Amino acid sequence: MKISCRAIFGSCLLLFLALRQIRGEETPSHRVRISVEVVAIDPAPGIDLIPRLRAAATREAAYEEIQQLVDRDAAELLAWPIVTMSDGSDGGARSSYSVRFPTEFEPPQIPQTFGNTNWPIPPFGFTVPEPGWGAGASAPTAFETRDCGAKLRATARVIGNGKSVETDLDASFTRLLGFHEIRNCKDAVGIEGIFPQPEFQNVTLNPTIRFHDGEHLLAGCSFVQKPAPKIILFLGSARAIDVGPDLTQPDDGISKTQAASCRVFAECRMVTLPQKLAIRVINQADTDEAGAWNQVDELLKSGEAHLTADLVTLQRNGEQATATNMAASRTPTEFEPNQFPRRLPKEQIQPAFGSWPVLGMTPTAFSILDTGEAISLEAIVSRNGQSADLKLDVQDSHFLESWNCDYAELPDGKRLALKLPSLQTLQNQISARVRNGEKILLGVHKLSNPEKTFELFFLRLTISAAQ
Amino acid sequence: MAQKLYRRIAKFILSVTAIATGTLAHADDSAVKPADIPNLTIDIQIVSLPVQIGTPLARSMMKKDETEIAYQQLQQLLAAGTARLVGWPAITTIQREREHEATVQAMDEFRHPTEWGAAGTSISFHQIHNANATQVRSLPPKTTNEVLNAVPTSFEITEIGSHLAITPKVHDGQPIVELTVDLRHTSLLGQTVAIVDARPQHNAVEIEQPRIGEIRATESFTVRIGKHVLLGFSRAANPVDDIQLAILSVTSMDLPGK
Repeated sequence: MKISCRAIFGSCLLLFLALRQIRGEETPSHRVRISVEVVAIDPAPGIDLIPRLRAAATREAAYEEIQQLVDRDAAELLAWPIVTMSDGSDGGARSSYSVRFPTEFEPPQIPQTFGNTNWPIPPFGFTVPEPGWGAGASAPTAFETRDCGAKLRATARVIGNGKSVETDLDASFTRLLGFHEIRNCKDAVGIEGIFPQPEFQNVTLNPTIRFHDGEHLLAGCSFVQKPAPKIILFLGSARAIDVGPDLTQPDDGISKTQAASCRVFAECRMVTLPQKLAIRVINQADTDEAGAWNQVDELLKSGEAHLTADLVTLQRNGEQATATNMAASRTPTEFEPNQFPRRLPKEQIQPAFGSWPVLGMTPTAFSILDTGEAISLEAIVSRNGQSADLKLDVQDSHFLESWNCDYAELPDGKRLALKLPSLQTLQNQISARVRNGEKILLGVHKLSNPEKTFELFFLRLTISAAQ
Repeated sequence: MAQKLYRRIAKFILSVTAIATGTLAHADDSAVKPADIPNLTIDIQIVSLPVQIGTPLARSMMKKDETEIAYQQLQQLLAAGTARLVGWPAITTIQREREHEATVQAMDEFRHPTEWGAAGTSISFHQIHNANATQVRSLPPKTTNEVLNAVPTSFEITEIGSHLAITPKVHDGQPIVELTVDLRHTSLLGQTVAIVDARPQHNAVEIEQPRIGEIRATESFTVRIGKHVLLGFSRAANPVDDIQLAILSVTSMDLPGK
C-alpha cells in the first residue's frame, strides 16, 4: 500500500482543525481567584492552631477559629489581597502606602564668603554665642520613599477540570514599625539634632502550592517580635470559576464581523466599608459574586458603605479604553537649611546674630503626585458575544495624613519638623475571562486610615451589539 | 520501512492531537502528579529555653527513639511559657519529584548610621580675613573646638529576623523528602555606644552601633515526612543562661477527604 505524504499531511491538518474546533466548543475555560489572608495572632493560640491548620481533618475548623479570633479582635487582619486571572496567566494586587524618610543630613552652614563683606571679624564686631554656634539643627536634605502594605502576585494553572489550582505565589506584607531617633549632642544654644530613621518589617512568601478548589491552606507563617510578639499567618485559598468555552478566536468571516461589532461596557465600583461588613461581603463573593454585589448595593443604600468611585468605560471589541479621575498635587521633595545672609548692613549684624539660630527649612525642589481613580481596560469579545477576555488595570490612590519628620528639638522641648506626604495606592491588575453580565470582586484592600476599613473593587461587564 | 513510517505518522498525529486539545501545555503536570497530590509544610521552630531544661531536651532530640517525645515536651514548655519562641518560619509547597525552591522570611529592616561627619560649622575661620584689616585674624582656639556635633552621613540596613529557603524533592511513593535548608536567623542584641567627646564643658557625643547575633544553618539531608529533626542548638547570647534549639518539621498536607 502506497501512502501519499500529501494525503497524510492533509489528513493531519484536517484532524488538527477539527480537534481545535472541538476543543474550542467543548473544553471549558476557567477564571481563577487567589486570595491570601494575612493575620497576626498571639503565639499561644498560634502554637495550638498551626498543627491543626496542617491536618486535612481539622483545617477548616481551625480556619473558622481564626475568623472568630479576628471577629473578636483577638487577632488582627493585616491584609487580604486577592488576584484574578485566567488559567495559565498571572495577576497582581497591591494595597500600599508610601513612607518618605530622610537619608542625608546637613548641618546649617555659615557661608565662608561672609568674610568678604565689611563685617568685622569675630570677636571684634560681635560676640560669638558661648560656648559655640547654634549648629544643632542638622537638616534632612535627601529622602527616599518606601512602599509598605500588602502585595500579591500569582500565576495559576487549573488542574483536573477545575478541581484544583496550582499557583506560584509571591506574597509580601511590609509595615512601618516606627522611627528610631538617632541624636547627637546639644549645641551651644540647646538645640539637639534628630536623625529619624525608619524601621520596616517585611514578611514575604514565595512558594508553589496546589489548592483544592475552595479550601483554605496555611501557605506560610513567621514569628515576629515587633510591634508585639505575634505569629503572622498567610492563609491562602483558590477558586476556579467556569467561564464557558474558549471562543475568543473568530474562525470565519461572519463571526469576525459579529465580534467586531460588539461593544463592551465596564463599570468598576470602589466601595469603602468597615472591616466586619467587608469580611461578610468577601465571604459571600467566594461562592456568589453577584450576591456580594447586591449586598454592597444594600449597604450603599443604608449608608453603611461609602461609594469612593464608580468608573465606567465603553469601547469597541479589541480596543483599549481608559477612564480617570485624577488630581495633581505638587509636594516639596528637597529642602535647604537657612543660611546666613551674605551681605548684611553693619547695623543689622547684631540683631541678626542675636536671633541666631536661624530656624526653618526652605523647599528647593518639588514633584507632582497624582491622586484619584483610574481604570484601563482592553477587551476581546468571544465569537458568541457571551464573554470577553479582559486586560484590566484598576487603581485608586489618595493622600494619607502627612507625617512630621522631626529633625531638631529646641531647648523648650518643641520640635522642628518637616511635613512629608504619604500616598496610599490600591491597585489590581488582572487578565481574565468574564461573562456577559457578570459581576466580579476584583480587589480587596485594607486601608491604612481609617483603621479597620476596607475598600473593595467590583466589576460589572456588559457586552452588547453595536447600534 | 513501512512500519517506521507508520510509527512516525502515529507520533505526528498524537502530537497534533496534543497541541489541539491543549494537553501538551500541561505535559509537565503529567510528570509531576495528578490533581490529588498533597502539599508539604516545612517549618523550623527556633526556641529559647533555660540551659538546665534545654540541654537534656536537645540530647533527647538527637536520639532516634526519643525525638518525637522530646518535641512534644518542647511544645508543652512553649505553651507553659517556660520556653520562648524566637522564630518560626514555615512554608507550604507542592510535592514534586524535581527540586524547586520556596522561601519565607520575616525581617525587620533596621537602619543605622555607618559613617559620621562633624557638623558643618567647621568653617575655617582662620582663612577669613577682614576687608578692613591688613592681616589675617584667627579666632580664639576655643571657638573652633566647639564644632563637635556628629552628623550621620551614611546608613546601612541590617535585617533582623528569620529567612528560610527550602528545596524539597520527594521520591514517588516514599514518605521521605530530600531537603536542602538554608536558615538564617538574626537578632538585635543591643547597641554599642562609643563616646566620642566627653569633656566636662561639653555634652557627650555618643555614637551607637548595633550588635547583631546570627544563627545560620545550610544543610542537605533526607527526612521522613511527619518527623522532626534537631537542626542545631547553641548558647543564646541574650539571655546568657538560655539555650536556643532549631527544630525542623516536615508535614504532608493532605487534601480534604483524605
